[in-house]
Amino acid sequence: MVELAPRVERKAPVARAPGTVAVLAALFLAGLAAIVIARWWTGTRYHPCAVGIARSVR
Amino acid sequence: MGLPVTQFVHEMAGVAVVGLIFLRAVSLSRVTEPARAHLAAITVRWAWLWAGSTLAWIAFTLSDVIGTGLGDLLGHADAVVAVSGTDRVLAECATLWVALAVALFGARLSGSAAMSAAGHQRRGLLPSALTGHAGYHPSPGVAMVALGLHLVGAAIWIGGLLTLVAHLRGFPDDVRVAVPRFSAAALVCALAVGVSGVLAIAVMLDGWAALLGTDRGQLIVAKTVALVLLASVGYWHRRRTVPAVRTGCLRPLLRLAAGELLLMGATVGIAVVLSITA
Repeated sequence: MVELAPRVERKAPVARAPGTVAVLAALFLAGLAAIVIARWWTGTRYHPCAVGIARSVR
Repeated sequence: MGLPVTQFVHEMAGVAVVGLIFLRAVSLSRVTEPARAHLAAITVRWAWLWAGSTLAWIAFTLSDVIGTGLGDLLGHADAVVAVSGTDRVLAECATLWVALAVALFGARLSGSAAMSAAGHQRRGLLPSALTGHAGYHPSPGVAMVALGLHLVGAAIWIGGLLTLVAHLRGFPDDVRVAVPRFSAAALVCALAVGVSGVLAIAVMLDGWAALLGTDRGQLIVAKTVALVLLASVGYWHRRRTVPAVRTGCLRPLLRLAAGELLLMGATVGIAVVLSITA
């Protein structure tokens, strides 16, 4: 039997490294998620202050 | 959420500028001209983001301290003027000037000028941090030096890695030159961050029991766990991916470093919340 085409070795697919936009988006999303979780965990969400400079000036 | 989010963007942009200029000045002294021009252009973009987010951060700080919404600030001009003279806002303004200087003149830096600028950019991150918790302790000098070292180490480490992974990836030959040099710098930075962190805890926290018993302590524990994980990733880099780079294979390094940056982003997020937690 004659082999007409050169045999091509099948290689395992190599995973691509994430692109620049994906890296930057993931970086910022990770930070925002950490802020939300950390503020929820510590209960340090925003509370409007009862007294403040704005109130004393007016 | 406006204050912590703008502070996070401000921190990340500042860190990126420090990393870009550090890498240009120290690790890439023999970089090719296209890569140098690319990094200079990217530095300017990050610097504008740094300046813009610092401006937003100042507005949110004024709103927070005065106790009114952003939209109502103009209606409280007297209070805005009064609060603008506080240490906190003045420190943020100092950072804004540094960010604007890089945005306007960063592209013209090269060689020794970039080296000198790298030092100044690191100082740009410090004023706001040093007017916070560190200044109000029995040992403010030790606390400030520890926090300053912590910030500078983290900025070079995170910013340098961000530069390698996100901005220099299109120049494989330059990455091969930069990685071994940056790897050595990152090791020093990781050690500096760890040692200064322990020193800051010892000075600024009311006893080791406060580590688990207070909100600040728990956030510090979370940051410590993240640092240990990052050190493990760094060890893996030195064992596997950096030797692979020497043989010309960049992909394992880029993939692991992308995951490392994800963890670094989360750590900076925790640090932001830590900075506004009593």
